[in-house]
Amino acid sequence: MPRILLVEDNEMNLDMLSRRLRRKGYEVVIATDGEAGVTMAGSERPDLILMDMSLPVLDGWESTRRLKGTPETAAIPVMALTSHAMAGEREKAIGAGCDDYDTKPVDFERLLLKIEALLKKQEKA
Amino acid sequence: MKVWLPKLVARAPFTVHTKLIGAFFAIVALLIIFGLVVIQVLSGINRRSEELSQLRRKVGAFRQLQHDTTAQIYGVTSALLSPEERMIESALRQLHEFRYDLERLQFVTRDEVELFGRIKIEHEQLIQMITNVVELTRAQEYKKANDLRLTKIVPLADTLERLTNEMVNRAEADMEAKVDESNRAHMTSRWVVIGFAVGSIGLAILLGYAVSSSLMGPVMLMDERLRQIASGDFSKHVEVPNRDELGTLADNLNRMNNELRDLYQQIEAASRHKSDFLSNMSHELRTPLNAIIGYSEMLTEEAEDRDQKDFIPDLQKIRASGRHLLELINDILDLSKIEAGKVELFPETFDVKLLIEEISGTVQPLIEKNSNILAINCADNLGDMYADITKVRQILFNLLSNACKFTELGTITLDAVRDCSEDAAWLSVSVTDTGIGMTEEQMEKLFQPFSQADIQIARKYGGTGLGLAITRQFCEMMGGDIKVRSEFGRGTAFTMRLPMAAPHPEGDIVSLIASDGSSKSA
Repeated sequence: MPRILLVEDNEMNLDMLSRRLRRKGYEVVIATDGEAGVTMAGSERPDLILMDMSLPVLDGWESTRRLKGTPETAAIPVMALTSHAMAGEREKAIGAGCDDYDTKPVDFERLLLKIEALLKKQEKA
Repeated sequence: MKVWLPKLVARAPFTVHTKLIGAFFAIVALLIIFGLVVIQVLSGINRRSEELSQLRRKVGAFRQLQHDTTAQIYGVTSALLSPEERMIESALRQLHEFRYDLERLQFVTRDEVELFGRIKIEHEQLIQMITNVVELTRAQEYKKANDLRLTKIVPLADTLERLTNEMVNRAEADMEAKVDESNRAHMTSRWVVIGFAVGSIGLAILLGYAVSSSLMGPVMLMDERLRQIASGDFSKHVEVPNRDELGTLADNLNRMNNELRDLYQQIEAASRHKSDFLSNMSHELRTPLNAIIGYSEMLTEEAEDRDQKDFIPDLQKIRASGRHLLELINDILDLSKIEAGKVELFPETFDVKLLIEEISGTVQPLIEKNSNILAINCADNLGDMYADITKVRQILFNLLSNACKFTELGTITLDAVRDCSEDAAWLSVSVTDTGIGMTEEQMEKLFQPFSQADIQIARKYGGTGLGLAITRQFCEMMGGDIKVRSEFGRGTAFTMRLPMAAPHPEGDIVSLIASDGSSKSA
């Protein structure tokens, strides 16, 4: 099964998303700050990263920029998750190198569709 | 001159009233001076013409004297030549009478006293000599008489004639000089009068200009400033040099400007605080809500998995309430962002018909909920549109879901046409329902935030009352508008119009400050 790295600092969101993703059959690894996320992306080699944008230590935008700037992790698709449902957030996330974007609170069905789409695209590439 | 004189008048520490009266009196004074000059000049002309006529009389009198002298001498000489006692007597009498004439002339000859004196002396001598000759003739000493006549009387007569001639010549020369002088004086006075007239007119005009400029200049400056204040520019003060009522007015204007500026800043800050507060509050509310919705969804899934279906309706109620709360919060956040001017437009090109089809799919559950029918009429020439698709989608979704909410067992019709007018292409979309409709009163409050048509409606149909306010703000942000027609109990029709091509956002992001519902693009 595909392995998803979930980078999220809010305990409840982390618990909820990871449990639901696991129930859907994904293997989920967890990081609770940006720097840990970047490290784990290198060590765990996930198939996809779900990245919260407002993270401690290193924020989501900077973490994504680092991931995309490192050859080993550059190919891993990153999906930005943010509660700032503001116009411009999508552009800001895409600008940092994210492959897609979704707002929190997540519409789980929609999130699953987006995850599948990204993974399919990755397989093709 | 052009600048400093009005400034000088403006700086003068007198009231406008005093200045106007002062200017009036200055002009009156100029008129009086001008009148005095004219009177002076006229009396000068009068004096000179009187002098001239006096000189004329003098010349006449002298000519008469000259003529009389010649006649006397001729008469006396011829009388002496023929020694008839009667003629001699008459000549002598004439000589004496002539003496009186001379005495009378003395009053006219103030300037020729010396010459006249000599004439008198010569004349007296002539009388003396003639008397001597007459006596010799009476004594019949003709030889002696003749000698005396030749040696004394003839030269005396010559001298006398020469002197009277000189007097006439002198008087004539005087008169001519006087005529010349009078002509010159006449010319001079004409120039003096013209000069004074031109000078007075010039001064009056200058004074009028200075006074009116010193009054109108500040008025115009203040008018301009007021216009700027009216359009919300509080950055400048009006500077006038006046130390009169206008100066006070300018000071008050500046004070008002400052007061308004402070007030405006306070209101702006308050509005910003409100928006920030709303924005932060919405954000903070969404985090726990996230958990409520997420966990209720998870529990529903788990209940399904464990076959504990009796929990499911309750869990779905928790989830639905959470979703509703989320919608409300999202609307508040949207509106506060619009009000804070934080909403940006991201235009892209998309197919209008595809978008409408997508939205009709999305609203299908809402349509079916109240057993309505959705009819969509898209014109064939809709084509592509360049706009912020998220906002257009939200506008259309709001209008359709609104129509669904207030219609039961009815028809909701969406008409989309491309409308070319005012040199631009517009997308015009109408959403018409056969629902409960609205009264005039209800329509008035329609687009205001937090004001649903009335409280019963809010209770019965739910919702925040923010949807239409947001819809209208989005329409105006994108350069369009939205209108409503409605008949109570019969249905409502919303028509929104958007430009097919939004201005490109390079360099100028379309933002919105909409605390008063009007849109501005910066």
